[in-house]
Amino acid sequence: MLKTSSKVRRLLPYILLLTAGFLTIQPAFFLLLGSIWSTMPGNPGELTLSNYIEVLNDPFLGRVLLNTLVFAVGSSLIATALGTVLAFLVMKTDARLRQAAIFLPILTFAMPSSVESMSWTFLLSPRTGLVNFAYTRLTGLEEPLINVYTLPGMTLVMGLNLMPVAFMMIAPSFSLFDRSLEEMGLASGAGILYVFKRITLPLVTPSIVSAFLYCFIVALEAFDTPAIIGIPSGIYVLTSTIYTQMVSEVPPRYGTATAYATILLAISIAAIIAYNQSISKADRYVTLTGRTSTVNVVKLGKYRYLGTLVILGYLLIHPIPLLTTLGIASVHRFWNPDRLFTNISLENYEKFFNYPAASMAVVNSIIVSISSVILTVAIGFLTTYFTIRRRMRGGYVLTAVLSIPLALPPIVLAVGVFWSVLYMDIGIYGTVWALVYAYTLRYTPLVIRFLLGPMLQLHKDIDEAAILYGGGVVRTMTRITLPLLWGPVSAAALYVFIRTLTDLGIAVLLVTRESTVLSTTLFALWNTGEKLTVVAGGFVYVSFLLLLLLAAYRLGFKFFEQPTRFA
Amino acid sequence: MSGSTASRAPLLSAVAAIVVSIIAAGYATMVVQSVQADTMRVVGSVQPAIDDIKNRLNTLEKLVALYAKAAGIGSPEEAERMVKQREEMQARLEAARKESGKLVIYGSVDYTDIKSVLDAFQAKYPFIQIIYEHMRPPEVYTRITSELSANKPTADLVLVSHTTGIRLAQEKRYMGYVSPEAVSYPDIYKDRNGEWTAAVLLPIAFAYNTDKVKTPPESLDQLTDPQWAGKTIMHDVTLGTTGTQYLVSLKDIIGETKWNQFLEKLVRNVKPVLDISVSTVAEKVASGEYHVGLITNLHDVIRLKMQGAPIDYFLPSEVPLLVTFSHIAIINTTKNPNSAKLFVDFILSQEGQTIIGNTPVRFPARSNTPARFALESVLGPNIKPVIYPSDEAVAKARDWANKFKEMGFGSR
Repeated sequence: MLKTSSKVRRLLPYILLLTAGFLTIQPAFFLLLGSIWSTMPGNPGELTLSNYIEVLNDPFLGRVLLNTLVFAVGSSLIATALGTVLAFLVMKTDARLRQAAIFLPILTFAMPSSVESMSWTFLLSPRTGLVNFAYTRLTGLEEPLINVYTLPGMTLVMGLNLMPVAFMMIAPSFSLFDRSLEEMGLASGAGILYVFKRITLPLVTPSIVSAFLYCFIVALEAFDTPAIIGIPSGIYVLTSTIYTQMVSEVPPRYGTATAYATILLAISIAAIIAYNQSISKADRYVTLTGRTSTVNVVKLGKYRYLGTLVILGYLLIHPIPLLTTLGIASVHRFWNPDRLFTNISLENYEKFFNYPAASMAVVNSIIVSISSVILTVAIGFLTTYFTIRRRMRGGYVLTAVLSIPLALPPIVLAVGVFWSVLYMDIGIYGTVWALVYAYTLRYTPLVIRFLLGPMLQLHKDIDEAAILYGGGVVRTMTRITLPLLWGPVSAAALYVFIRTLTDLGIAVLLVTRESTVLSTTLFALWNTGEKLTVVAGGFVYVSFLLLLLLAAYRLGFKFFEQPTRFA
Repeated sequence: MSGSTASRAPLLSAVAAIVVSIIAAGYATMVVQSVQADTMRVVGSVQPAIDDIKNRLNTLEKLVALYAKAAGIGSPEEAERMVKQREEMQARLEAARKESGKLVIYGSVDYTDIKSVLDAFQAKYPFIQIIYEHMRPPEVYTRITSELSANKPTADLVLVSHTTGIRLAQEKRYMGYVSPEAVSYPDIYKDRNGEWTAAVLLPIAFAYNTDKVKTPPESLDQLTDPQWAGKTIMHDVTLGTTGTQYLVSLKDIIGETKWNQFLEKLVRNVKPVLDISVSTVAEKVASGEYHVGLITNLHDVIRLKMQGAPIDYFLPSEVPLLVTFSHIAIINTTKNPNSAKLFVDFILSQEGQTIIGNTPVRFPARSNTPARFALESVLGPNIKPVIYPSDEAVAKARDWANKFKEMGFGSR
């Protein structure tokens, strides 16, 4: 009796996680089928390799792949490097403006990424971008100061776009430290920079690499920046091709689109396997043992102003100009810097609030986002916990499987989910739950990336001690591991919540009038050319979020565990 | 004795009979006379009324003739047909009342633009509830075909871009229904079997910034002058979408030789910057970033102009106004065919089209719609729109997209 129940208990995580794995594989299966089937899945047809042959015969494939890789590697490097430096300054030092560096980036990713990319064109278009406009007016020169329509330009924009998520992934790791490690370094006479480079940085490496990997894959499958900035620059990436295959022709060429997506998938899976290999010797990253003491702040001393300057510099190149430009654009009927002061109106806000069915969409959106947060965090936490803390067999395979949806561009993923819920009828077709399903698939990999690093940093002793004292799996997990990892878990939850509210594009096939959400409303407006109304909508959301975050902060909810300061 | 008495009796009765009959006749005459007098009196009083009715009938006849003339009815057969239609309409209304009372429409026309027509329809037929689901054209196609193959409920109607819808028609998804309103539409705007009819026009034009450009290029030659280099933006013709289909359709209209010259000079002298969105082409001309924009939505240009932006449309003399449209069609699996037909009739009617044409900025498809944005009122009565994309432009869009790429479009 006791034996069977313990067996069941041992099997339980496998059953749970296999279910999650199955639900992940299913849309991917339909997409794979779509790529080797001569018609759409569900329709009569035959097996064919013609889609793959067509992709391989694409005369521009080589150039496009090269662009894609340069763009993805470049932007993820920018995001991770900047994210690491800022996370260090915010979490470990006494530099000023740390609160601003936490709040402002969060606000920027509340904006749909298409809006963020557009706002860079408002700032940095060669002739009418505000920066270049002011520059050419002031200097009388013809040449613009910075032209965003270049490969470095679009890479930088994507890098800045990804920076907040890299920051949120890395920051919590800095508080999971045994401070003695750094203190020993400092005590033995090393400088702060040396300690950072040789001690601090290596210890948070799993989180940094995890963040890099995530940013890399997101940049691979990103569409908005390559479309809005890349195409006018003459730089095409793989997603530009996938996108046009899916939306430009009727019937949509799902077969070739998914065949192209398979290339992205292959690159992503290779990257994830490389990551898993690199952390297999995980013990070397353990930084939080059972003997942990309070984490303290590194006093920067004479470097303090430098740290402050770095934070200020970041704020001045990303969140401040971005939000200011969007704020200005939201009260313009159309964008034209010559008419900056004569073209002001609240029309966009009026249009946004008068958009039919907006209130129902808000309610649905909140239901969808909260449900997605609960599911992604639960699946992500359990997977990483059993993989790393309990060394579950096949755990790493499972994390790789759960990461598959991340490598699929949202419009491709949406089609896979659409076919799944349509043909494998579980009764959620046409309801908000289909959307929750899609968002859970899309954001579980993110939660896994958030948790992998910190999970590795916890010493095994901690669980073993709990088990030694008779704590069961559930008890150890909820009473020990979860509280210790509360920082990364809440950061992940916050990110998923904010992002799912304005994730445009994924919802189109999956919602019906009854299940319409805010993002479909914004997406419809965007596609019909009412872009500034989308900006106004985004701004309403940002203001609402700001109030919410400030209220939460006042009530004592910390987004990141700030280290306690030594007097 | 008995003989004399016997002979007297019949005589007596004969006399009595005569007397009685005389009295009776006299009475009868009197009665008849009085009846006659009554009748004369009644007739006398009725006569004016009869004359009045005769007069009214005459007037009515004249009026009917006038109305018929005004309505273009030349013959009694036509009048009969109209009566029949009216009866059919009545029957349809009755039949529609017995249906589910719900119509689902998948549409690629934005909800805000179509909402006022839907509202007007619901006000007219309060027993039918409209559920309009907005999505992009390929998604309309995917939803319809996938839902049908999975035996799920799908839309009753579509209001979708023509190039998408024509594919649904080829796959036999549409129900043939020749709406009585369809007679007011040119043949190019409707299917012969009534499977679809144009409801909203989507004209494509070129745009220029009125601050930066005083007179827009008047010919293709002027348009490909090197002075526009770096100042021209165009919808991306290497994607196989609107831009590609527009350019390919232009080939047959201006002739292949001229077309080749134009493209060659365009890419050599001007090298337009490309953009993924047709709307953005207009927006970037309005902002002053570019002076000239090629292949953009006429309705975007006019909307921006109305908002006060320094933008206007133009077309070189060789290029006609190319127009595509969204059409309305009934899906043949509908369980509400009568309600669906009522909707088709309404959206194609003068009333429905006028509402569409007064929505900023949507172009109605019905000829002579008295609306603000009727093509004739915006562009003048002489406008001769040409339908695009051509068959080749649809079938070979991807091949041409690659050819344009090889010609040098898109690379900087």
